[in-house]
Amino acid sequence: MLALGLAMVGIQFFSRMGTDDPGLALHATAFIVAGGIFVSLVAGLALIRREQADAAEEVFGVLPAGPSSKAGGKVLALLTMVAAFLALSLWAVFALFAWREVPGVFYGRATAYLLLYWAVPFVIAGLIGMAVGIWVKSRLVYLLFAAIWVLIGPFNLSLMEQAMVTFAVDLTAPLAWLNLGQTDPNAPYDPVYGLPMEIRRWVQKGVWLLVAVCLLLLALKRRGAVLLVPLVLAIPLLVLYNQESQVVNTRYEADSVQRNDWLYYRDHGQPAFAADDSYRITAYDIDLRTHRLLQADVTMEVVPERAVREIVFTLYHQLRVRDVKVQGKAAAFEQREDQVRVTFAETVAEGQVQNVRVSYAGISSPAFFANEQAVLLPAYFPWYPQEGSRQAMTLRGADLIRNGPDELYGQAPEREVSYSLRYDGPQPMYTNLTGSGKAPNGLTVTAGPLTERMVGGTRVVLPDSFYRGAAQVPGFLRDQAAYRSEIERDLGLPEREAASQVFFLSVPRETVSDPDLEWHLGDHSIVSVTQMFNHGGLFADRYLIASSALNEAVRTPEYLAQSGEMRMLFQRAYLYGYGTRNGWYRANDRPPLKIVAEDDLRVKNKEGSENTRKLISYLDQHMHDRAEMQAFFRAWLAEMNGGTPVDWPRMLGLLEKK
Amino acid sequence: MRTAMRFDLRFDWRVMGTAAYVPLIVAVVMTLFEPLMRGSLRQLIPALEFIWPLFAAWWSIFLFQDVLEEPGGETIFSYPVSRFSLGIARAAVFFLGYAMLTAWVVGVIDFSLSLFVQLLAECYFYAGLGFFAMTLLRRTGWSLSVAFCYAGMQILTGGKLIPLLNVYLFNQELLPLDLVLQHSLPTLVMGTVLWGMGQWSFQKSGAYH
Amino acid sequence: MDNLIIDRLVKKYDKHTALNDVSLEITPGMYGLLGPNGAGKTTLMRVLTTLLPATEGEIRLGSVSWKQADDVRRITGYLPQKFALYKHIRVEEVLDHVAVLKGVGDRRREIETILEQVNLTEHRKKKMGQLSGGMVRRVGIAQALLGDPRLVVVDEPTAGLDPEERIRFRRLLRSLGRDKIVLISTHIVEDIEATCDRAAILHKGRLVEQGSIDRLGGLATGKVWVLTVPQQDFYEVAEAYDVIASHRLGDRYRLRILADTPPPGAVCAAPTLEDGYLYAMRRDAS
Repeated sequence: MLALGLAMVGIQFFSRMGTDDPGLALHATAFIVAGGIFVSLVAGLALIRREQADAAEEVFGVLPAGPSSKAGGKVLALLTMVAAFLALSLWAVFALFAWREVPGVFYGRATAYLLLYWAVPFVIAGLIGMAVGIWVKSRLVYLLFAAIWVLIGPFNLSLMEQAMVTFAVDLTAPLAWLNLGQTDPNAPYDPVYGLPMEIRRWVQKGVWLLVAVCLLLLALKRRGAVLLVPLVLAIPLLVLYNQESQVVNTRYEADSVQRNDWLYYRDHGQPAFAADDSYRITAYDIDLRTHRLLQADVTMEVVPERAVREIVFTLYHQLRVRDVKVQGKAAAFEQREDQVRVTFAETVAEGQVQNVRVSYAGISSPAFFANEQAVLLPAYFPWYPQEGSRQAMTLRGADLIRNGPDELYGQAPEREVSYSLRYDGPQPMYTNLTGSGKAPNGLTVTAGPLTERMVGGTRVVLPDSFYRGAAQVPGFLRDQAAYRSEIERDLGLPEREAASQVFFLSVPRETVSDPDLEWHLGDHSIVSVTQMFNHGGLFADRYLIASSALNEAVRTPEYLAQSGEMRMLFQRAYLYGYGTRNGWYRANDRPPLKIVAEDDLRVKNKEGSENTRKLISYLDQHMHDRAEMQAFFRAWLAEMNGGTPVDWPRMLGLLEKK
Repeated sequence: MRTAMRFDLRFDWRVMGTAAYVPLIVAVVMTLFEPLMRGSLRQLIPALEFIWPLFAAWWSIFLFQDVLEEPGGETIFSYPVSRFSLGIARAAVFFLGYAMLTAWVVGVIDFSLSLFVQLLAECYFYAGLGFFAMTLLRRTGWSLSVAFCYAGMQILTGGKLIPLLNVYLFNQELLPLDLVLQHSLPTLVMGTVLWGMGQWSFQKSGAYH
Repeated sequence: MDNLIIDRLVKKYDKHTALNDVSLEITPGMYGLLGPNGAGKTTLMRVLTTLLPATEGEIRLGSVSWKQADDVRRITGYLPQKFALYKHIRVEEVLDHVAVLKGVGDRRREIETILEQVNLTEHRKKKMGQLSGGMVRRVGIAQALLGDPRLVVVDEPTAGLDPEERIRFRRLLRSLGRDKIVLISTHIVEDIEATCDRAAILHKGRLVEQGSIDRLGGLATGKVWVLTVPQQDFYEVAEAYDVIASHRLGDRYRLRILADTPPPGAVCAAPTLEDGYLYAMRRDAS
């Protein structure tokens, strides 16, 4: 069995390392965990029944402390077996890591991961196997093992999913508690969040271990103080487990990345309070702590632009305000949706600076996490109180659009705000704050398995798991700047300087249709990446980079309000022309715009196919006429920003006007 | 004079004890899935595929618990009964029983020949796997571990880790019979190899307690 | 009745030779196989019961050759050292199952007869797991006797039995030897002495000695001495000589010593089978 197990370890890591994704190589070992749990149950049974098989149990039964010594020896044997398997597996993993030149930090992470998800669950299962083996003498023990395996294995949620739907009961919490393996075996590796090893998971395993020890002691008929010890030890662990903490879930849990914000903003589409432009914030002093959840004390310099009695600012709804102080005195406040309304003790005159201190804590969005493991708090996300009254996100169909501050859509920074930050959380930590302590479009804070380097004059922060992809970053930045510049010129948009800092972070996609790789925030930009960027040519994928630059350049609320079909058409049409002019496509290549026409034909959408062909024909005719193309696309963009839906007839009308 | 093929199936059933009833219980549970899942084949077929074939290994393993695992099992090899009869023939008879159970389960849920053929091929594989594991390892627990580990590996990796050894189709709707037959052929070949290796191991077995 | 002929039997496992050129001719009746652990007794049992194939050599019982394993199984019955099958099945059902596998004609009558023979009639409805060790051994013998085999092989017949059960079992075995070849393998010399007429001694896979019980005992003629010593001299004498038995008599010890030359004050004693066995072992070891 050991040989088979190690063979599986070797095959799994060998096959995964080819994609330069050591995180996924570790995370996708749920099947090894599942198999190991069953094997450990059986091993525990075999250990405890050894004397029965040799008809020697009575011999040890009469020795002083014979049975307990024997039991202790068997537990040690179990630990030895698990330790041996772990050691050999680590040896295989390290050898493969070395072969693929994986950075040294991953060796320690792999060890911790295998300890948490392999070693400890195997020991727990072995102890349970021993206890069950003592209690159940018949062959039904194997059926019990099958049932236990289903309950405590990494696919308990998958198997119980339908039952939950049928009986309309949410069992995700107890099933997560029972699951000793990976919560989501199919989740991709998040290069910023890293491997899921939050404190809560360690605590869960600790409690389980103590429960398994208790079960074994009960089976051995031990009572009294010996039994109390693990029970007493379990209490503080249970308290620790139940403390509020952020664990990023990736399946269909109510608080998962996919569902948490989607569900909330489906039902809470509008801000609770009207838009408020009665003040501006000129400075922030932020004391940020991210141990298990986000806690912050933020002091703002609020400058009223007219006489006001109350102001509204935006703060993510899950970050619950504890108290607000204005000029050192407690102030009344009301928190609803993503807004907090603060009422001053008396009307404040225009220009009269107010010191407003807000203390809050809570679980941040699963997409923008902040816990003991990693922090991803971009500037456009209201993780600290921000001016105005807006919902942090808006749900449009299947798209969850992030609503940044208005300045972002203006694509030009209006003013710079001062920030001072004190931080206590995972390291290393990076922000966009430079020596000046000022930023035009908010404060981004990120921490975890990251690293930074200078590329030309640009400061780049990226995951440390990008040990291969990092080499392509200079080319990416160069291409991105070139594309942005041309796009801005072609579409008549204000030209912006490239950001001096670029953060490559695992920000989730907003839409299903737009290649929303980048957010440009003036002094810094955030590029959305996955671990796949470490392998292969995504950083050199010019279509991806150009379409993302285009999307970022034209992004306005009005543009985003257009249908996904029209937005995609705009992008593909522009890039068809751009790509053809710049020799992207060879003779037999099929640019995305042409694929659309063919697909429409295939699904018998004759009209759609014909329309697309008209567009292609127009572009083919005029694509070398730069002025013509610029005029056309500027007109089209103006329509898209016109505030009313643009459909095919309106778009084709633009062709006819030409 | 050739050694006779002798069966005492009633005794074999009783010797398995309560373990003999496990596949029957699982069969009943499988049929309860249909109303629970409101007849949705998208949910039913994967549930059936992941659970039912795995338990085809059950009888193949428990049939041999006394012969191969208990002290004194070698006595049975000293009787004038062929190892063929004691081994693969007995396992095959119980597999036929499991095949009939499969037909009943599929018939109760939503009789489809293609689904029956799909499950039957996978059951044949698992029965062979259990048989071979038991004759090789001579331990019930470890043999079950082999079956369960195989199931876990294929299901959790979607059959992608070692595609050559994958028997699952991972379909969520009924497939045409010819497609099922095409995909089931490698499964049947692997199953046959396992059955053959199981009997070879049983035939050659000379290690006794 | 024919004799069982074992001619130059060899059994090898890779590089290890478990049986090395063993030749025996066993007449109907009780025959014992003596030897220490690892001598090859169990291997020989298993070869005789066709559980293991021989590497070289021939075995015949009348017209039945061991090259035809199927024929052999029809005429042999076997009780291994460990027999603990079917714990939750009743005695009569176990025997019925064995009878089916052996192709016994009138199963019911034969089982009745054998249950009587092994004195288990009143325990027939009990489950195997409810029986005492001695009863389980008797069920073991019963299943070996089903089908009226010509050759009955019993490995360590009285292992784990209390003295009363042991006596009962020996008596049972003796009764079998009337019209069968009963081969018992053991390292308990008393079992052989009590039940067998002839025996063989195996050591490290080789046949060391064979013959009648008297002859085997006689191997140690003139080599067995009895010496009585005071208590305080016991350890000194025990270290100086090969003491094979000792009895305490008040404040003295009577020692039984195996030696080529008599210790001072020792008296020559008539050898027993055990003495002959031990002498043969010492001689073979040297």
